[in-house]
Amino acid sequence: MCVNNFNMNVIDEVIKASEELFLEDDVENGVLEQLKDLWITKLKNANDEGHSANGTDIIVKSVLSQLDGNETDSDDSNASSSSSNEMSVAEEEEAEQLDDTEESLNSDDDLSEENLEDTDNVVICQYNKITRNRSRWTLELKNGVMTLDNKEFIFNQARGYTTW
Amino acid sequence: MSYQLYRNTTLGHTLQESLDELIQYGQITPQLACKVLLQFDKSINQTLATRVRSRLTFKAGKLNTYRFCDNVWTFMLNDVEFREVQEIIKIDKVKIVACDGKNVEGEGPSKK
Repeated sequence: MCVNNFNMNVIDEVIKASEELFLEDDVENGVLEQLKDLWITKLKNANDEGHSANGTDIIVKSVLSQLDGNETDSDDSNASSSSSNEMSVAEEEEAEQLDDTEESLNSDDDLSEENLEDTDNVVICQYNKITRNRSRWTLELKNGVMTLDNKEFIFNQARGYTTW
Repeated sequence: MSYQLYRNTTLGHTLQESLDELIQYGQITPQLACKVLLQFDKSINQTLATRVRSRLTFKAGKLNTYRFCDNVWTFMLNDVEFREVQEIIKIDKVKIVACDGKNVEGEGPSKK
């Protein structure tokens, strides 16, 4: 099922079921329609930002250029941050030798854990079975919505393999 | 009570933003917005379970981190290749959030 169809399906169902809720709450006529319009408009804007042509199923795409770009970016930032760490440590050591004072380790030196999990490529799903054999993991997933490279995909079943 | 985790998708975010706008203009109450979101949880869980048929596989070069807390798995994968039939998508960093799929509809915990 195409992602666009899936989205419209969910939207239609939600709007239909909300009719009663809106009536119960004595909401003005037309607000429900407004909700639907707002929702669809925002969805379109989100998709356009992802520069996807038309939300079809998984498209064959050469992401090598993007992949390379991402890799160089992350490599550069890693290299520069590690070299700056090394430099500051070296500077501190020099200061110690010169001043005979000790620089204690601070919690500022810790790598923030939040940055490690920061990515726009997310898979929201349910798991059937997660298994591990030594360091080899098998992930059996279902009912997933994925946002990869600003494009949306959906799946009923997915199976993945990876190594820790 | 259906899982609330799908609120964290584009579809979910856009709905929440739309509802927030209507609340701002005083056209609906926050309580009504809450009920709509609960309906959204139901509808998306149902549609995913019944109307979607695609299967895919993926292979990741590295499992960077894993976490299992409150029956929710969170994985960070690097160098991932998603494959559906003949089509391939390569992504260098992916986060997977997965709720327990065995307890569905009424038994599972609500999870944002």
